[in-house]
Amino acid sequence: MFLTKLALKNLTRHKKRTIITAFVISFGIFIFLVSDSLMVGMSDLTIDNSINLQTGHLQVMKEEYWENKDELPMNNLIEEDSNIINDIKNTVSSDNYTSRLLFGATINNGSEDYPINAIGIKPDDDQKVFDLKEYILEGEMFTGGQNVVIGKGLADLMGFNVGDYATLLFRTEEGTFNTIDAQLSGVIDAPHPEINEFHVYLPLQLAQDSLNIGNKVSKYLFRLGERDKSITAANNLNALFNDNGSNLHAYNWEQLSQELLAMIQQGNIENMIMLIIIIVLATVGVINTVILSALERLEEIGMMKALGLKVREIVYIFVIESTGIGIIGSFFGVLIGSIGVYFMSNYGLSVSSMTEGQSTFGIPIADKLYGGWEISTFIFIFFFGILVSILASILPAIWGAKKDPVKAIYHK
Amino acid sequence: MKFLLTLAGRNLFRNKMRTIVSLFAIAIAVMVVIFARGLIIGMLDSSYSLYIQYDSGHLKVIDETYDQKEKLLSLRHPVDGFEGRGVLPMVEKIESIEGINIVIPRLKFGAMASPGDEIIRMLGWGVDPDKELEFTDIKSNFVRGRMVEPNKREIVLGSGLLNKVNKSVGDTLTIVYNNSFDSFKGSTFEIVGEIDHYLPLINERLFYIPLDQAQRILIMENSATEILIKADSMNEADEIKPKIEQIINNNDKRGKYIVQTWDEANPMLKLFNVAEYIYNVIYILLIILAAVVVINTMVMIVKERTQEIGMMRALGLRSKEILTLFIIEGSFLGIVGSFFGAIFGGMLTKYLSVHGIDYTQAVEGMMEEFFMNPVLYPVYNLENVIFGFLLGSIVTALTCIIPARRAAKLEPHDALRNI
Amino acid sequence: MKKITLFLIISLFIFSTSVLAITAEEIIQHRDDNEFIKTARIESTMIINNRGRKLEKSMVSLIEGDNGLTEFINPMDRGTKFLKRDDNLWMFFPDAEDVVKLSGHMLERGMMGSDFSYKDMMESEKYLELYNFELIGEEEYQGRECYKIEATKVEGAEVSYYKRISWIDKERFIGLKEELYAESGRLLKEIVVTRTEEIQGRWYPMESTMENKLRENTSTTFIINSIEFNPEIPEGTFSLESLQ
Repeated sequence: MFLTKLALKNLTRHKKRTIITAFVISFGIFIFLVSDSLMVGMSDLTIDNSINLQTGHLQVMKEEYWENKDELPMNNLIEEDSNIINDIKNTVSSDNYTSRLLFGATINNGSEDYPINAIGIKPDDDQKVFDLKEYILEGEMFTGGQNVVIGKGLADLMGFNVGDYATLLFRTEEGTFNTIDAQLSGVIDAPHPEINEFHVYLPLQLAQDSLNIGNKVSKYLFRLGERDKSITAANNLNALFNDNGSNLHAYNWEQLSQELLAMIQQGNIENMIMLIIIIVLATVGVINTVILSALERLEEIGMMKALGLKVREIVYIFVIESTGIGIIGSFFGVLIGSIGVYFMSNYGLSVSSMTEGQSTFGIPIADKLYGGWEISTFIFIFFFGILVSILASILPAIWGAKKDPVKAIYHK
Repeated sequence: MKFLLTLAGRNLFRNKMRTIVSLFAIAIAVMVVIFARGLIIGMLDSSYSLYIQYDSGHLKVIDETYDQKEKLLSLRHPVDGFEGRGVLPMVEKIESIEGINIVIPRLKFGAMASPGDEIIRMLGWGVDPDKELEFTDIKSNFVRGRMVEPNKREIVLGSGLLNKVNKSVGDTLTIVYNNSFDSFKGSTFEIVGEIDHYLPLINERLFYIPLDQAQRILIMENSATEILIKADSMNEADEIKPKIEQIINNNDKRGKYIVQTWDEANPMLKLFNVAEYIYNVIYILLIILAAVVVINTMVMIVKERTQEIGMMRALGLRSKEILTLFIIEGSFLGIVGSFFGAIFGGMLTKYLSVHGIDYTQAVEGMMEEFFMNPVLYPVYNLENVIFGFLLGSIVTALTCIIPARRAAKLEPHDALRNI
Repeated sequence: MKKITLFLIISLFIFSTSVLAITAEEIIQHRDDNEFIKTARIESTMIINNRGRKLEKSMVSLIEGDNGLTEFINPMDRGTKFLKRDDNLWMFFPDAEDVVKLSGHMLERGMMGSDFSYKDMMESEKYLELYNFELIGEEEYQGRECYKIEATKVEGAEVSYYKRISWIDKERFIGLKEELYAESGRLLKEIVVTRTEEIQGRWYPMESTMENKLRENTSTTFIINSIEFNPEIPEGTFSLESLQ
């Protein structure tokens, strides 16, 4: 107890030393938290783009449809059934659902044609799951009727302007040719090349009528509270479908976008490496400081030994001091780090300045990068800072404590 | 002045521990800064690597009209060399440009197979087999067999695709396609290899045949649909683009080719600019941290030597001289420390740029299915090393000044008080 | 005597009116009968015009009932053959070792880059089953008096064109023009017969052009260079082996 008191007194006696050492820890932690936050924010941005524009959090379709989904088949569609939909909504605890009908078609501007993916949507529902509307560059999303919304790339390629008429050519379920002459009500510019260059959105009713398929859709799509819930939700749904003997199957966002997942995984590894580097650097800083501190206090150590303290006890004092410094450093580090991350989470960093005004993003919403926030990281680094402080101090303490007291005092 | 120099030298030698600790801090800081930069560039490169390898290269040469029709896999706007004299000489000529590592031709076309009643749509790539293996990472993804060989009627497919067509290595596969004259044709190839790759494109849609075979069956003599180019790193693409354009303009007056950098070819990659910015921010934070570590070390040292300073004042040295002394010491430490840091940082980066950081072990436990090749290659760059060196030297020299100034201003008796 | 004369006059009248009240189906049937070839050897040329780009293909076909073997003889496609047996279609390519069966979506492709797909070809043999016909009037076309017949697809039938309007020569029962429509009523293709010939008592379309109405300057012209009816067709011609 005496030793502990001594240790703590030492801390207050040599404020400058305490502060300087704690500062390295704090600053290191601050950098760590900010970097981590930025990196999380960055991968969030990429994932969110995909989820908000292309995949949603969860999709439900027939298993046979999934197997051939790249062909945009007209068989294995789902008859919209409100009972099943309600069951699904309850199981995943989300009301944000929409259905879509996908089919292949050619778009024709009177002289040229081009193959595209046609997607029948109900704009009101679709809005609950997707952010398409936010990326409308010109014109507006349709409410119904014979209207389409196409991507900017496609509009430019075919020379379409809002108000022009386009013809869609496709085959119905029976293989009979049919056309839709629709007016372009809006152009989308989204940070998603597939949408910009190959997608044509039209009212679901119009699509269903033109394909002669009644009220069938290709899939149900859902938005959940958080994307982390996607996997459990999908599993719960699949259990439900199994029990009911239904051939529907739920797919979570990771399954829906494997390439994205690959990128994320790699991103995580890279982030870890960066963070390790930061930690290494900060640790070196701490070690240095501690060693210098020990050097400075050789006299003091000599004095303590002369007073009868054993090596073990001297090391103990140093370790307690380091713990104290570690706690102070970690505390302030986490504090400033939190403030930094808070600002980034809420106010974001403007992305447009980064991309030098290139407007592929179109609208400010995708413009800001928000910091990520994970309590586990904070807890981890808090304790880690203390740990490093302690460990860094042990060897120099032992080295110092073993020195001959006489030599130590005369060190100067 | 000479006196100060000698004194500085003696000071540093006298307190070996202190000197070593300082050098250590500075060296590590510089080393980390250099390595981190190489790492960041390497990381960015690898996040783009998919696109670089399979889509846009660092740079791409295509026919102007092909750009728009790319989805249609049109065969009517090929790259047929300078003034139509053949794509391979053009590839060679471009490869000889300084700064360019490797140039490959690709002939992309749509094809189908119908083993049973199903039709399987596929994408065919006619490639130069050896170069293709160098340009992309498929070499490590062969699970069976080998890559195709030139002049042979051989084909390589992804596992998923092999599954769909119900064949395996050793079987033959007949593909049907439209040649460049829109004639519907079929050809049979022998399956010599199977690739298992995480990219659905490679695994389930793509097949490789030798370039000469593709040219033969499609009746596209000496042509390809595109030429892809790799430099040392992506950052150099903008510099190299005009060089390629010049070679093309000098050799071909038709004006039909355009050169695209990777971000021009694939607009989505602009999204990754955000990543670049973030990493740059983090790099700067890292530099600040490194500086703080160095500053911290130097400050502690100067603080420790307050007594010493007092002694020097008492002995008659002027403030200015004391300051100079510290600057000399600081500069020395800075230069030597940075030098070692630069050497080691450079060597580490250089070594790993060749061998890569293999984090397979780390990954094995963590994830069920890890997609990417878990090897990261930092990028070695001499400019980086020099930058690190200069940064370390300057920061260290400067850091000595402020505490030294303050200490030097103390009255001798204050400074000496700590004895 | 008068009763018999009256009876005869009335019967004659009835007889002649019933001859005049020809049904749409009958017209189509008659046309199809005319165009139907039981056994023949045909040399033909197909000129494909795709937005100004012209390609020419030449073929020799042997036909026997529902079976047909066609071989391309123009330089670019020489050696390519296709065999039709009932409802099945196979193709042989000189550079391939095995024969390729065309099914599903592949049939929807335009033949050899033309607008006329294999599916269309297969469908053309079953018009009467797949469509409901209505005689909607009479019109003059190219100086000939024609029946104008509207065919609408039978519900559920898997045909490419929802509606077809045909102009059939009243005297010769040969189709002179046909319009093909999508379900929305949009005109997709127009087929015009530009040369006809009377061979062995039947009128035959020797040259016809199909125009794609949705693409500028795109059409396919089909020209019959020679027909030899009832030629010697060796045994086993319509077998997969003969393809290779």
